[in-house]
Amino acid sequence: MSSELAMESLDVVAPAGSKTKERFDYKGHFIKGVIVENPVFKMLLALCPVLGVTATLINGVGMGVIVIFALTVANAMVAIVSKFTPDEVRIPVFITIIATLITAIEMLVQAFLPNLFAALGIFLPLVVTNCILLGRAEAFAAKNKFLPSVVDGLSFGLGFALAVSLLSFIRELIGTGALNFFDLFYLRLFPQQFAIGLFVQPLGAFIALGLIIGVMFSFRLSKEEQEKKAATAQKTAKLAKSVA
Amino acid sequence: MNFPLKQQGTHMSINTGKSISRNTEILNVVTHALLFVAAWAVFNRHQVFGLAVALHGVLILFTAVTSAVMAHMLFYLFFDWVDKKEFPSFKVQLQSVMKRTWSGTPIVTALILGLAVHPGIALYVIGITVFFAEILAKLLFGGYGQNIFNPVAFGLVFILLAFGATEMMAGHLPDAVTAATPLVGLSQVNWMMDSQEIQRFMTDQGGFLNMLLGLVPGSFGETARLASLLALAYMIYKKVLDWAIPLFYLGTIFVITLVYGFSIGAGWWYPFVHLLTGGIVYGSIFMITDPVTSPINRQGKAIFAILLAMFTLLIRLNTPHPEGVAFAILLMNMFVPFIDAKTANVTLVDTHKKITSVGITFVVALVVVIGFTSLIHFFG
Repeated sequence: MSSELAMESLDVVAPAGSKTKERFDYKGHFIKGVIVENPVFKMLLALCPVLGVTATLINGVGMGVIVIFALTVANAMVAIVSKFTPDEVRIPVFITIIATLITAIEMLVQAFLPNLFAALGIFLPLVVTNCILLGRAEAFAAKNKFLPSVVDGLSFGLGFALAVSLLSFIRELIGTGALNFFDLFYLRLFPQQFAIGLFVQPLGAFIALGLIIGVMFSFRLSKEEQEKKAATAQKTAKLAKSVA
Repeated sequence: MNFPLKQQGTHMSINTGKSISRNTEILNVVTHALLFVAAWAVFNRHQVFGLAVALHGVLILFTAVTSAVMAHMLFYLFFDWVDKKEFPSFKVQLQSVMKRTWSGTPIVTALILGLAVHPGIALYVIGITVFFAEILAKLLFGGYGQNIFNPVAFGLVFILLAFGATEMMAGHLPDAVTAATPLVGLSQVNWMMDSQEIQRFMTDQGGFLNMLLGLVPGSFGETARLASLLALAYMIYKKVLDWAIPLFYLGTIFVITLVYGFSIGAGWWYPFVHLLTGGIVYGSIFMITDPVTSPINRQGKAIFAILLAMFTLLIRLNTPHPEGVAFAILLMNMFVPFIDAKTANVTLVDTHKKITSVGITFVVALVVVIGFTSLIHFFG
């Protein structure tokens, strides 16, 4: 379901096999992944980890970095493998690649970042079912060459990471009144007493995510309206000119 | 599903079926009634707790109103900026914002919420709560007249979920204010009491007359029960409020608790323990009668009120929450479009059918509350 959604909202840039000599627009695609088609705020993909692990900034950033890494490597591997994968078994193959990758990442995190491992809990193995990974593999990496796939993975992973970091930043700030990042810095903005504990609970995640999406959508709506207005004004000006 | 579309475009006029000027009149009457209740309550708290608490109450109401107006103004200013609306000058923009703010009835919501909260609540808590209630429950839906959920009930639930029970109290008030109210003690025994315990409870509270007058510990608006009833009479006399909702709500609670009281051997006085504690009277007059979040015609209103009473009693009798009114309101607000769809478009005047449907709802409510509570007590 989710991967279908991801496929629908994406346009295929250059299907495999087509012999167009056009150069792939790396910069445009990167911006598209991070901002224009942000996987969380625009496509509403992977909401389970977004709502589940964003209670503190460390968890949010950790999850974001893991997804960037996993998405980039998975996209690269899928781009290589997809050339000689029969169409009928492509999804099992993609899932196997992703699952292997996530298992490796899980072991690495458990070995080197045990605190993060304990905090992420079940959400770390569940990255396998993260619909961004399968969605990008199916919608982009399977049909494109190696380098564009890597850039695609980086950009969409960065978009996810930015969204998760922003949400966890807001939630930890309002919910506890302080920011804490791997013992690197600790910043208390207002006393614990005045914090709104609701925002650390899952309910607060829904409210915060909804408000962020709402504000972003209203900005987009206003921009579209402005463009429409400008287009109409141009049209009338042209018409007036032609009449004159 | 073909739900009737309420309020498209013009705010609230379609819902109440009245013109805009009539709506201003309605709001004025409600505001006057609320100010009467507020004055009574402040005087009342002064008699029970002393001057500090009474002044704190005035500050609570002032903070609530200021916060509500601020929420509206900031919301409209922000979206003017987002939409890049152009005004000749900042003064003109401010006038436009204020006009939209007053049409959103910030004062009525803020006053009702400010009177319903705990009397010892810290001022920043009520400020934040009113701000969030106005924005999340009212403005995001498109302003007053288009909200689905009652902002006051939303605010009460928000306080319960967002702030701890003890941390939110203002430090400078006497301990009597922040002590546990009788409601908490009653909910700890799941409202199970025999006739002797009721006798003792009555003596503790100084009799039911004291509870009706409000000379007991509790929140500002909720203890001002007689004032609320007088305000109800005034609002019915001015025809700004339909008597169906309070009557059916209080009547259902009375009958169900009477039956339940006999089933646990508590006797004739048991319903008054329910009616005269907590926010049932206050809520039935100022919260559930909100014209926007209640059904349109009288049949729907009766069904709405009966089901609301059912949920209130289910929450009171079976959960650790001492008060069920706010939760029940939010729950029933979700069913209002459904009730409207089933009742509002009936053109035939079939009184027999209407009475039957209300009666069936009442029987269902009675059976559900008594049956569910007995089952829980039997197995638990």
